[in-house]
Amino acid sequence: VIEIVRGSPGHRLLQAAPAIGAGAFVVLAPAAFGPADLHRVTRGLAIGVTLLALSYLLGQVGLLSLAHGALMGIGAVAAAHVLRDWGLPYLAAPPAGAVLGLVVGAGIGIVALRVAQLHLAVFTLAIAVSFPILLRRYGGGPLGTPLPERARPTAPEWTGLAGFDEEVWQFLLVAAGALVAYLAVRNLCQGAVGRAVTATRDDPVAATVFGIDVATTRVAAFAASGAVAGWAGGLVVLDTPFVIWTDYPFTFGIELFALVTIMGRGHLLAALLSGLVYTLLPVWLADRGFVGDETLIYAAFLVLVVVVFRGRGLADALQRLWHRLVLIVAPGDRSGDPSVDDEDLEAVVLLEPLPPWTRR
Amino acid sequence: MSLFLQRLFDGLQNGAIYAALAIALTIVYRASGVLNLAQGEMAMFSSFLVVVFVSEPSPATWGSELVAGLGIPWPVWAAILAAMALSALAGAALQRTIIAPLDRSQPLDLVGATMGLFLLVGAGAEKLWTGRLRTVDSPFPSGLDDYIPIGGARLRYEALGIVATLLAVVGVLALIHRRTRLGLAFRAVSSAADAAPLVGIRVGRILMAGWAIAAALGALAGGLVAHSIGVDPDNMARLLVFALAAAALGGLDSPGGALLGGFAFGIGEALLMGYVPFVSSDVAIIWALGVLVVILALRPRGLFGRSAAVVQR
Repeated sequence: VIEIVRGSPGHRLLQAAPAIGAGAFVVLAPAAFGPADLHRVTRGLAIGVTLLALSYLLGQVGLLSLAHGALMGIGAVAAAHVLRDWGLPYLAAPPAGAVLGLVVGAGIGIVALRVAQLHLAVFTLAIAVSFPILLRRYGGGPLGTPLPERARPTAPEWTGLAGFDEEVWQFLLVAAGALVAYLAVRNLCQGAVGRAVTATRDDPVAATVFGIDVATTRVAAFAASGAVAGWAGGLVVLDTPFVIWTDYPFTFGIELFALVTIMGRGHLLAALLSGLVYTLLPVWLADRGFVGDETLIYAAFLVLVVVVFRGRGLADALQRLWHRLVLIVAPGDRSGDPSVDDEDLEAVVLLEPLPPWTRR
Repeated sequence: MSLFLQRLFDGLQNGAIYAALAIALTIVYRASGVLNLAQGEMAMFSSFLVVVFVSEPSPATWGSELVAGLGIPWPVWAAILAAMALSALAGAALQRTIIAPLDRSQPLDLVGATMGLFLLVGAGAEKLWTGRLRTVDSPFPSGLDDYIPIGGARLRYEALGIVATLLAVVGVLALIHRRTRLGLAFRAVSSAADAAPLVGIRVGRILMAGWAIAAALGALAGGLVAHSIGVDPDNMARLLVFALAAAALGGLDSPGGALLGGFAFGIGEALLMGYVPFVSSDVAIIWALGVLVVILALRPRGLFGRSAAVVQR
């Protein structure tokens, strides 16, 4: 076991490691990947944002959805609409997607108040199946909706990136959008809002006793998750010059659900990174002789293994292994007992008032 | 009037298929509290088994060479029965290995398991049969002249046969449910799974039987519909949505409600497509979604279901 003292340089380095890793990835990826692979990375980040939204919903909120692929598509449709029909600049795409995602997410959240989880699965599955059919019918037909040339993101001169391939600028934009989404969802999980949401998941009756408006909190949480998925749809539009129904088959939402189950519900960073797994792993496996269907078969096996053996996912297993190997201790206490234990911390943070909208 | 009758007859066939899948869903849900979202994929896999039994042994059809010694190709009816038997075995095995170990109080795990099955069965069929659309003869006369003229409309033998078969099977299931010891045990497990072992009922076996019956019923639906829509890994999703909507309308724990719901959706879809100009076969799915939303919003337990569908607070 490695002991690291809280507040020491080593501990600070450990805390900064994810940010350093993300920064290094953003700087190195354009050089490390060719245009085709960089496009996959960009798309993977956008899908990762959808997985982030779903992981938040499944893990923190405790509600399920098989429609997050469709929510992402709805965001893409909204983004394409404001770029093509309203003539807005391309940076308006993610917010436009988020707004429509928020509205649709709130609608599903209202239904979720009324029905049990299995019925919610039925409802969201029906949305997932219907969305590509509707998009094919009303969203530009079999060939999809192309975006105008002016909606294509190109690097401004001041960035010094104008001479690079357009994929580099698109990647940087989507990476920035993914970072914004990650920080937003992480903030939602923390503080008084996060505790209110977790309380509604763990014990709605007790949450009500503590003054939390369970219905409002749940609808708001579902709406927030929908907004993040819609934001992801807006990010996709920055990378792909058209919106087409074949990108959002009903199985997409099921695959997202499966991926979050495999990685671990509620593990936000793992969810974001698993978007890269979604787009890069099949190509990597295909290069080594595996075909796509086999990948899906293995993924399905993994889902069943995680569920049947009541596992909490890959990220959770890695986290537990990490906590076995690395122990963070308080200054002056090398024995392994922190000077302030977790229960004291919980008691302190509970004194923080709840935000007004979560109260009855 | 004749146009209306024709729409009605057209809707009967689809309604019977939706009803069969919806009843399969309710049988499993009623017994075990699990909503098998992989039911459509399992039915799709079963219809590929029908293809295997009606094909000449050939490397182009996976499995046909394995059963070449059984004297295939068989008549369609025999192939459907064989697929039903194999599907029943597979359903029982899936219940025992995947569903039985689950904690039924964890809906995320239940959905995760059925979604895992969904992906596994779908990808497995895609892998084994390479996703190529196959066709199967109808088990009923399906030529251009095979119909009964009624009021200027044509009631096709195929539609009549599918509806009659489904009603016969549902009748047999109802008899088993009401008049046999198996049915009594099934009702006991549905009503009080915790108390059933106290009177000697082996709950695990009853649940396995429920999954087996549901899988066989799904195989029957898949086999009957194979002629009209073809056999393809992707073609059961739409049917599943209608079946889920039908089951939700009737009540997820009510097989009788599912039967009515299936026919209501089948006939409703045919009438919509017949009388509303912009409603195509694809767009008709919105009808199912719309009804589903209304049911879930106003009466989550469905028309004939119990109250368990409503969220407990």
